[in-house]
Amino acid sequence: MTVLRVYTDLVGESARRGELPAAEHLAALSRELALMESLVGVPRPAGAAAPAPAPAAAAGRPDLVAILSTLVESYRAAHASRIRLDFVAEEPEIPVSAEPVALQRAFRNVLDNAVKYTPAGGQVRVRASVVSQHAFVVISDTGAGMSPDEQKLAFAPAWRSPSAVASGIPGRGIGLGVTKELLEQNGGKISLLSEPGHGLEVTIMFPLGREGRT
Amino acid sequence: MKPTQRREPLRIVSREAPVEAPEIEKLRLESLLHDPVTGLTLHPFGDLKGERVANLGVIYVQLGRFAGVESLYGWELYDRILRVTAASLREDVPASPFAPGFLTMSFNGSDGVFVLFDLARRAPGKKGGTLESEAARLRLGVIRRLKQALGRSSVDLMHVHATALAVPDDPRVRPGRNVMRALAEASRLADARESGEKKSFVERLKAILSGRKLRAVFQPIVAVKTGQVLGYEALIRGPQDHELEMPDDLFAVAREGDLLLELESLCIETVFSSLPRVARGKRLFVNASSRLLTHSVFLDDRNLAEMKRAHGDVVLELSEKEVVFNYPAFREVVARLRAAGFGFAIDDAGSGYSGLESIVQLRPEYVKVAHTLVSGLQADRIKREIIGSLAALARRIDAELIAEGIEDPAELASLEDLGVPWGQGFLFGRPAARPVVLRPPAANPARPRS
Amino acid sequence: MTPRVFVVDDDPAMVEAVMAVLVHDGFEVDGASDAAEALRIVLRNPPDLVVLDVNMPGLTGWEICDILRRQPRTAGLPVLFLTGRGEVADRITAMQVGGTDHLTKPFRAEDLRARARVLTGRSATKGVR
Repeated sequence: MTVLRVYTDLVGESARRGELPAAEHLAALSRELALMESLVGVPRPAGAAAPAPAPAAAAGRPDLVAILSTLVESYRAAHASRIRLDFVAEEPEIPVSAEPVALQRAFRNVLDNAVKYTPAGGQVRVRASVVSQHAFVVISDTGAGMSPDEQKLAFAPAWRSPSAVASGIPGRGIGLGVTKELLEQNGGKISLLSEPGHGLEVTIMFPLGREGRT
Repeated sequence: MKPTQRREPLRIVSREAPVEAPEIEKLRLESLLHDPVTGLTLHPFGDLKGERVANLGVIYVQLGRFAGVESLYGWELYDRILRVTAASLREDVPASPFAPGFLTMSFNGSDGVFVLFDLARRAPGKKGGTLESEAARLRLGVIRRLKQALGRSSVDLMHVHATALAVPDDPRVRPGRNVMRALAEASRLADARESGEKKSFVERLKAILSGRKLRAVFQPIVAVKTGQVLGYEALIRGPQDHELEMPDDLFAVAREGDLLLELESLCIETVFSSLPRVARGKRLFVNASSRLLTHSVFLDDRNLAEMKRAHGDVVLELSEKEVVFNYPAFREVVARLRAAGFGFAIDDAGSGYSGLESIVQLRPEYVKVAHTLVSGLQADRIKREIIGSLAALARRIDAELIAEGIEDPAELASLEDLGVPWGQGFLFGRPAARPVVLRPPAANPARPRS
Repeated sequence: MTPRVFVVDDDPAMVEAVMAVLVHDGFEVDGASDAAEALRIVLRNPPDLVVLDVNMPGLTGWEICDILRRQPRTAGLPVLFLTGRGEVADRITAMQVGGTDHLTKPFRAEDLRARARVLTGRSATKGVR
């Protein structure tokens, strides 16, 4: 939200000075706005192009492998000194029918949580594969994990698991609820598997094979 | 306007060799070992360099845990107390006959300072007796300087203790552990001394309770803009000039002696039986703990009816620090008291760490801003911002802010700017059995006060 | 002398956003998303202002500020914390570790700019707290 606010302010200020806003500010603003729209569920006007800062195999059919590998790279750059981040893709390309920006945000949320709640020396693995016409992305960490009760509540908005609160790591807590919405709006599904103390495994699933590649 | 040169925003950490950060780790470890407030090491035998000391002298100066000083006075005041204590010891130790053998001074991380000497290197022929008398001398120095610095008689509340211990070396024992045991022993001695004092205080409290020797005083709460009186807060006092005159002391001792419920019950009784005439027709603010409110003695229908008969418009003040909402029982109690016509206020808001959930869940009619936040807010933007967010929160839940501890017209002006409607403090009147409402001088002559 | 600002936030998008705001105001801005790396850079070459996120894994914003305050080179370095909205406890802790000021998220670009100006001494109204 803050990032959106900042770019809105900057574009507004340029306008008030009678100048053209900087191209990179507009691009960033557009990106964040699209994100907000997908969160709020605003339908795209017919014919409008999706903003695609994410790599796309074809317009509207972003490539999961490319999105994930870019994301993992940026997290690795930020956290290499603390934890190990691995990405394994069983296919070279996995195009899905979904909003590229929404996908980015959803995966970003899950990766954020995984990285935050994995203590130093731990590991986060991302694995992308295709099984019977479905794309699977599994993100697993070696953090505190969640009990079955915590897992039930995890998708409620503004919720943090007691073990997360106990870990003392400050967190935003709205990740999984919003992530679930983003994914479901785009035809995807999310589920959790965990044992407290043994990390968390988040599985995200997308149906493949929508007719007609554009 | 052209932007200045823009650099790459992200430092890309080399992927080939994950960077360990030895210098950063070193800095982190150093901060673990060293207390920035007192400037003292947190590690008592770091300076001993593994040497054995044939005869170790330990003087331990402890700031009284008795009254929970830091949570009473807040971390900033406690920082000052610690700094004064450390400085006092640094100044007085060199004059000691043991000074030539001074080894190190360390902070225990919360409320005590250890001074370690090699007793064998004591100045020969220098007057000045025993380790015990040195401990007493150092203690008096600390008390004197604390009184100077804080200028308050409540320094007595702190019960500064000093103990002394001589520890001969035992070659069968590792030197480090020997030292640690000595320090633990010195702490225990200080605790024992403190508990002896505590026992006598508990006896004195029992005498007050059985003799029903509490008094109630009342302090006005007024509109910041107009000075119109909203109501009065009832405050408890022990016998005049008694060591346990102030409520903090009464409650601290009650906590030690497990007499909290008895004390609170007597407080309520005292308040309702000594209401001043000016309090009629105005709101009555009464302090209560969740312990009291959930007790059958309080919730008894007859008791509640009697309270209502004595004064029909009561607001119960609960401290933010102790508000607990996860118990369904407590929520039921709140509902029942509301149905019986009681209002609620959260006291000391903004000074605790329970966050704002407790305020939102209780839905109090009033939120009282802690006096530590009000003090000097005119020169402190962070305090003003915190009060500003409390005001925004209060608006969302239909509560009104009362600022506590207003002592200065400049504070009043700032509060008015922030839109805080009600205020309480010496500026508007001191707590008294028959309270008088003062009209504060206008901070800004352009602001007329009715 | 162009004042130099260093931004530390584990969210690279936030670092970029802060840079976008301040770069247009005549600041020289640099930033990092890795806390340890950021600390190393700031200690080696102290800027005129550090903008520091509170919530970060690894080294927390608190630890970073605490370490900076203990080193003579950076003891007086202005530190602007970016705190979460409604987190009163965070603002108190920010004071306790020696933070100079804080800004709650989400913040306006002009507020960030104003704070940066005041903290680097560029403001004409320097005396106002």
